[in-house]
Amino acid sequence: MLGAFFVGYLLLDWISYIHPMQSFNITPWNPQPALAIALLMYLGQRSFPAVLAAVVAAECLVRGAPIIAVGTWLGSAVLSLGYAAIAATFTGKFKISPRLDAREDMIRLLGGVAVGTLLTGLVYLGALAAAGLGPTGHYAEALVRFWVGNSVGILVTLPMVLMLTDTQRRRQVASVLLRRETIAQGAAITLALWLVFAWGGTEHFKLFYLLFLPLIWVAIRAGMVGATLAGMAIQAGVILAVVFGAYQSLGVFELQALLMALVITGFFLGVAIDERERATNELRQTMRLAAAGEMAAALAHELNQPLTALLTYAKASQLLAEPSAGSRTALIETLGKLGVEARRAADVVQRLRDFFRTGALQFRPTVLADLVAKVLASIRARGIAADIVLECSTDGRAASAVIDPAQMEIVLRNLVMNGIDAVTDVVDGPKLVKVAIFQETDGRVRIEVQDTGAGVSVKQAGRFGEPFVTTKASGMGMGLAISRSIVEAHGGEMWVEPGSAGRVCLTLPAGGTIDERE
Amino acid sequence: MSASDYSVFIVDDDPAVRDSIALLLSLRGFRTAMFATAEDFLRALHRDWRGCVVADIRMPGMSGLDLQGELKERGCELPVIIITAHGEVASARAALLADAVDFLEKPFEEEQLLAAIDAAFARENKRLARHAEDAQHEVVLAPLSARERDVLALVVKGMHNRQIAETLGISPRTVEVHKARLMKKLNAGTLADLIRVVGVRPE
Repeated sequence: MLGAFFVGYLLLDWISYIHPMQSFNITPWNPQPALAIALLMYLGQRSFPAVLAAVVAAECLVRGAPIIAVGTWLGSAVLSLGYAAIAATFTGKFKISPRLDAREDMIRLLGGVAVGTLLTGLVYLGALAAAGLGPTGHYAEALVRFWVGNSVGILVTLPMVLMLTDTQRRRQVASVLLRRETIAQGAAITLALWLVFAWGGTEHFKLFYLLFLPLIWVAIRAGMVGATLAGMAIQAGVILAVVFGAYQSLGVFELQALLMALVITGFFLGVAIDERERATNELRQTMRLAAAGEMAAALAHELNQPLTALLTYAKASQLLAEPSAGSRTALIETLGKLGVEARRAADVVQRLRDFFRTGALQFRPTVLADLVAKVLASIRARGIAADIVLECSTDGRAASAVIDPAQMEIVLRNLVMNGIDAVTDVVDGPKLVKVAIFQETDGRVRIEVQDTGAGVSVKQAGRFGEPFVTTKASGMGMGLAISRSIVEAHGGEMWVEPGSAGRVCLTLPAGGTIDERE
Repeated sequence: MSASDYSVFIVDDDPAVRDSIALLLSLRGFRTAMFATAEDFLRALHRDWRGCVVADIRMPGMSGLDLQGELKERGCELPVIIITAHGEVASARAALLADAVDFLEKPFEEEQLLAAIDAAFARENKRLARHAEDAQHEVVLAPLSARERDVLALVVKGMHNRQIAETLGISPRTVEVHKARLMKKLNAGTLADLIRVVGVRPE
């Protein structure tokens, strides 16, 4: 790792050795300190000698400083100590997470880099002046240039280096780079750079704001990872333009100051997007846990029924098996009932497995009529056997929603099965269960499961979906509770309309409100 | 009346639970009756029934706790044992506050159920003994007039004639007449006899 650092440091310093300020060797873009700071953060202060060696080597090999000279060693020592101080700040009192996914981290990163580079510049120039090694005059300008060049260089490069030390962030970087959208975003950045530098002509700065547009696009779509990548791409474009264009050294510094504002905007936007993403995921997780909790309570209830019967039948069998009891047929009959109850318990466990097998909610745009058709097809045989008609109707538009199809299938199946149960006892009159899909004017989708059964009273409707509240003899009371939890985890609502016929309604949010980003 | 005349009335919507409990109890020599809902039980309920009720909480329609309340309302004093597959502190508290004999969480052991039924039958014994005593009392006091009963009640409380006269708003002389007549009717020579015959009972 130290070898890679050494080579990387020299390489970055060599690439970025452009437009140096006369006699101070201060350049407008200094990304290599980011490597040094990241190394010191990652390996700790024991890597200091390696950093010092790299800085000295770069001074001599890239900038042509004499190796045996007080100035070379003094300057290198000051720079290395500055990097070490910045690294110590970020691992100590103002600790930042290498994931950089909180606003706090971002504020600390900006503050630490701004203050750290300013102080390092002061000490660096002060040391040169005190040793009588620097040229006379221009110290104030040199300080500003040192500050800008180092801040921009570190800010653009350090976040990426830090994020690459985190496994999850590394995976995100890879997935962002492999996205098709990234090509379009890269093209947009290239176009903006071309407009700023080629088309903008000599008054290039006046179009600089155009670079904000692709950066904002990338940050909104891909968070901090995207903002960092876009910032690096724009920095690279600016440097290329500077190298191949005819630019004054001063113009390049001004350009770098603008770039700093650009990158800071992108970072804050990216972090805000990451935070929103995290909050959404946490909420979704909580919803799922709530659903699982209700599920567990309901299943405990459902398991306890057959277990009670099992235990009691077993005890009865013991009594029946005693020689004095005599009745063999009663014993055999009871043992048969034991088997039935054991199977009933196994069914409950099976249902539990089905629920958890669907895993985390996986949202994707789904045409609801197709989903309903699939559900009805799987139950149709049952309907026909009981002489029940199953129907699906739409209002003509192919309503779709961003949902987890596997989970929503559980909900729909549950509701349709409830409908079938409700109409099974209808003696005269139609036996119909109908699923109707409506596209609401506000973009939401409403699904109604109607049946020609007895319906529910206003009082019953109020307790709808509470676990263990049931109107059925073979007491479930849990299907609706779980269904409602699932619908709510989708950001929707579910309720029952009281009346003389069954009517359960659920709404789902308009398609596309759920970000499908990882 | 003995425990052999008692029945266990099982009210549970789950057919297997209902059936298994009835089977086990009948093997243990209990008389049982099964009901799928609290409503069914209440429709069949007869005031001569003796024994105890074993009721599930979660049932479609009326819950076991509702049933407990309804029985109380109707003045039926059959002891109730509540069983539930979903043990909650709140419902256990409600059941016991409403004087349930026990609160069993499903699945329960046979011993727990039998112990609860024993306790319920013991309570039933006590209740019926008290009823018998009441009935006995009623027979003894039958010949007395209403005024004589009033006087008797105050006499056995240990009141003097004058206090009784004040309380009832009659003259001490009249009190004496009532007292003499009721002692004769109850065949009691002394106050001690009188107390032995009617007993000191809380009103």
